[in-house]
Amino acid sequence: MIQLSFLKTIDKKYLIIIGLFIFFTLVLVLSTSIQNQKTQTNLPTPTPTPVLATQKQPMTNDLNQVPTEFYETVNKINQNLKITVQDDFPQIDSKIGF
Amino acid sequence: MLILFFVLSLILPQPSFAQSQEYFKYQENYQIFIEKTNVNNTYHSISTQKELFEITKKTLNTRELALKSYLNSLKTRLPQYQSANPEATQKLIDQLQQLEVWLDQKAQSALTLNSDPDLKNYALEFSTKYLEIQQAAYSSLVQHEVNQKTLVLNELDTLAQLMKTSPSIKNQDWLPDIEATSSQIKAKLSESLLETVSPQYNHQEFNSFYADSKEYLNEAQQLLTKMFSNLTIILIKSKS
Repeated sequence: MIQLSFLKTIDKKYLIIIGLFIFFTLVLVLSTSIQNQKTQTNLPTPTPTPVLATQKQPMTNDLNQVPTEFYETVNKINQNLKITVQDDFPQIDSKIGF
Repeated sequence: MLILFFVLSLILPQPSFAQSQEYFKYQENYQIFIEKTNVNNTYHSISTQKELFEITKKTLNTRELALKSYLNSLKTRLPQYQSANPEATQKLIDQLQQLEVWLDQKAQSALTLNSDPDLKNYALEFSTKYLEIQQAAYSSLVQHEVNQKTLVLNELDTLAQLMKTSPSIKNQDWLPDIEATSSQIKAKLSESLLETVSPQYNHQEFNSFYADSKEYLNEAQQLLTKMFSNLTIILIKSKS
């Protein structure tokens, strides 16, 4: 049994305010969740984008299909291909003193 | 805790030069320099002129130190892929080293300027050298990227050779196409480097070749990705 005797010590006025706060919070949460469900069901079904064979990039999963003897080499190249070189030449004022 | 810090330092991206301490100091002084210039343009008194002259010296000093620090960071990066083009890369490293020494001397002399004609001479000397600094810095950036891409291309060529001799890959129809792509990549990388030796000075203005070089580098990157993609597809097909 939950001991609710402590509630008797709280002023009724405050109990009503707390009760109303909990009630409205629940109403807000429920209405938001119903609204979200409605929006999701109304969304149009996405049409699949055609992918040209020449544009196909190897996916991470595809690399797992590479024969074992080549996997390590292919994986290393894949990592090296992703390296980007920083080009951060600083912007300075070269005309100071003129 | 230390391990966590070490792991995080590996994962998190390295700060760019724009976030460096030296560049920050220059920006700070430059901001004050702009303010003092505006004040001096309004009042044009002896005290505002003196204040402007002092902050100009500080700004020049921190500008040269920021540039020196940038060239140093560039020089430290270059050896990473130097094996792709050892001689050309070494030449740039040496050039960057010389410019660093020049900038260091210039930074010190900025603090000893004491008259407007001195400042004028200093500015003229710097603007001429700055053309060389830009040329060296942008050439180094291009060389560094060319080196990195050349090493990836070498790896792809090696992979293609391995596939060529592999008994599990019977059909070799793909080879001419892969070799053609490899040649195209080499051509793009050469063209990118050629841009760096084109005439850069035009009436004391730097004619930046970087955008053109970068275009070739981007095309090379696309071809590298295509070559990798095609080789991977051939390998996957050979398994099925």
